[in-house]
Amino acid sequence: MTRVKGITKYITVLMLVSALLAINSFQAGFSQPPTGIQPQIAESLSYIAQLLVKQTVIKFDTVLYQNRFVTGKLLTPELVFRLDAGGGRLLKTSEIAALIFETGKVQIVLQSGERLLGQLLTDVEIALVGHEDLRMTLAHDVMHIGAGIVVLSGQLQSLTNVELQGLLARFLNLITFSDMMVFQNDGIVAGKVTNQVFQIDEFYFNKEDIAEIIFGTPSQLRERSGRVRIGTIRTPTVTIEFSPTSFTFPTQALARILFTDRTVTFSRAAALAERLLPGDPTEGQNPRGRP
Amino acid sequence: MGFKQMFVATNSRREGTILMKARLFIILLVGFLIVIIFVTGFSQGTRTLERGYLAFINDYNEWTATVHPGFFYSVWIRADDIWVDFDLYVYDQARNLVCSSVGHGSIEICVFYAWDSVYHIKVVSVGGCPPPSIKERPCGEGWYTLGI
Repeated sequence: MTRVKGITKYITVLMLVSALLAINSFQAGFSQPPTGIQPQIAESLSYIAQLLVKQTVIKFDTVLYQNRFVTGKLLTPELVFRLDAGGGRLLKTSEIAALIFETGKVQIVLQSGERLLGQLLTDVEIALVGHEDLRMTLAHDVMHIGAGIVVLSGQLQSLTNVELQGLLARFLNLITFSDMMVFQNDGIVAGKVTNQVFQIDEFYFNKEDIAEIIFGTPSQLRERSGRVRIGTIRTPTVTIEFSPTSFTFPTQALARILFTDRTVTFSRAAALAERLLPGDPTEGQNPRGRP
Repeated sequence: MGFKQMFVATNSRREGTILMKARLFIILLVGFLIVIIFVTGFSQGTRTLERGYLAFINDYNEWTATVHPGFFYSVWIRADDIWVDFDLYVYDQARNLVCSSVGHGSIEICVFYAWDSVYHIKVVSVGGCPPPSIKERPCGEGWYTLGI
């Protein structure tokens, strides 16, 4: 009897494992092409990602932690660290290029190129894009727990390629957890939009039904169904929550809102993009021999 | 059968059951570990980073990427030198353009959804001259890193 029970358990587990493995094949099965057609969200994500690397990180200080992303100006002039090498160190924010957090550790990338390892002991205050009055304090322990990344304006080049890859991957994955708001001045924040209804002309839409709003004259509201409504956005302000605090921005300051989309699944795998081959190995080969 | 013999028999039966349970537990544990490795180990591996070089303006490299369909991918390039201007294009197998990132700057990024498994990535040098202090470098020349 015990043996039968054991075998039944074993078969059940085997079935569960098979089901897990089958999910991947189904994904592949469902994703057969309409050739050359991309989902609209790919276009939006490309636009926002390009804006991030070409404008936002050049103009603003950026902070990414947990599922939040804020841009603006760091107000804390000096930061105190406990260094792994021993002792404390006070660094001017203007000397720093980036801070890359792990639990209990932060890698300090200085503008001089020097790298230090330690622990941040100071809370960081940032004035958010759009409004100097909107200030947010990020506790140093929260940054450590949330494995945050801080990049000071114009310092993206100071990151290594692996660090840049990590920043981009985490930023793009935000769309599965947060609403992304893009400002007219190229600032970006990601959190949870708390407006439940948006009005375009005389029509009202529930937030849950909206995939994206592009503000302009006229504005475009794209529903999750794919239908696009063109008109004037009548909603005067948009509030975004970075729990526990929330900030309200006038609609005129906004360029775009891309709402959370849990169907967006980025590949997490080298194994899934394993064979990246040069198309023509003789093309553009280096006569200078640099690695 | 005396009491002692009965006790021994019962004990060995119990030991057998415990052994079988232990064996099953190990099999399940190994199965579970295989699943964990399959789901996380493979999928959390290091991401692809490649190096490329363009020698002059209008020079280009083509790469072929084999990907797993059903996911969004971000492809990016970053030139080693901030003055060069490289553009990035992604094509499907039928040579339809699925994504492009052009314009000034040494970093370009493209996000696309993989319906298919084979994509072609084209990196083109469109210009960008070094500062006057670096005379030996031609315009539009330099190394880049390609990430996916």
